[in-house]
Amino acid sequence: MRGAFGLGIGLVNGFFGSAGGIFAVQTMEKLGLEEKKSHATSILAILPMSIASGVVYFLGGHIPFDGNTWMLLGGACAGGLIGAMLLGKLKGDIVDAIFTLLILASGVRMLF
Amino acid sequence: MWFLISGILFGTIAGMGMGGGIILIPVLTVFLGVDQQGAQGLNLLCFLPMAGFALFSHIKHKRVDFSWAIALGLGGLAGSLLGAYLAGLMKNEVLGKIFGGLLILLGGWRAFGQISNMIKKKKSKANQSCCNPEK
Repeated sequence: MRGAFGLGIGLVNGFFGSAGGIFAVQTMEKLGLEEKKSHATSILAILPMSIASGVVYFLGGHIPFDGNTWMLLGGACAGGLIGAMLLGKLKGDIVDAIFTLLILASGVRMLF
Repeated sequence: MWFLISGILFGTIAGMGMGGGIILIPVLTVFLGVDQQGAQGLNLLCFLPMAGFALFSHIKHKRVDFSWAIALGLGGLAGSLLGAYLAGLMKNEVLGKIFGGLLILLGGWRAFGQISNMIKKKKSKANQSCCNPEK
């Protein structure tokens, strides 16, 4: 049962190179895992999927490697630590609303 | 420089387990000129070290449910291989548009949840103030 959800989440994560975690969080919350734990657990659940699809993208020549890549990676590491510390502390309606607007705006920009 | 800032922003959101990629990918394609497949690949790549750092902290605070992580993670392996293979077959422009559609769906879904939450809160507040016997 859980494995079947995983299969669907993996498909999304591989195809879009992202967004698997969002569906993983929703699945776990709907099936009774508490919110903070769902968010933290989603990262571990997505890790093997991201490694697998990352390898496919890499072999297909779809990952650009230059100076910018290393900047991005360095920033991501620092941000990962900050985010882990902030989990649960930075949870307001306004932050949520800004995040939603950002997603919608990006979607509109990319689709049209 | 913008790549460094994008990385920090991505890591912070992703470290909270709330979808860093759906922010990072549009930033890379719309503002920094990376193509869609490249942005998706970079997002996957960035996720790996970020996950290590974030998990170190989350596991220490006992926030990770291992039975869930293993079940979803193993089930997801096959799906992610197939998904990544399919993405590789797509044209960048088409993949970008589908991604934009996904963002609108996700954003709309979040907005719906947040607005209905707000209405619920307002209603419960209104009930409290109208029916409080002390007033």
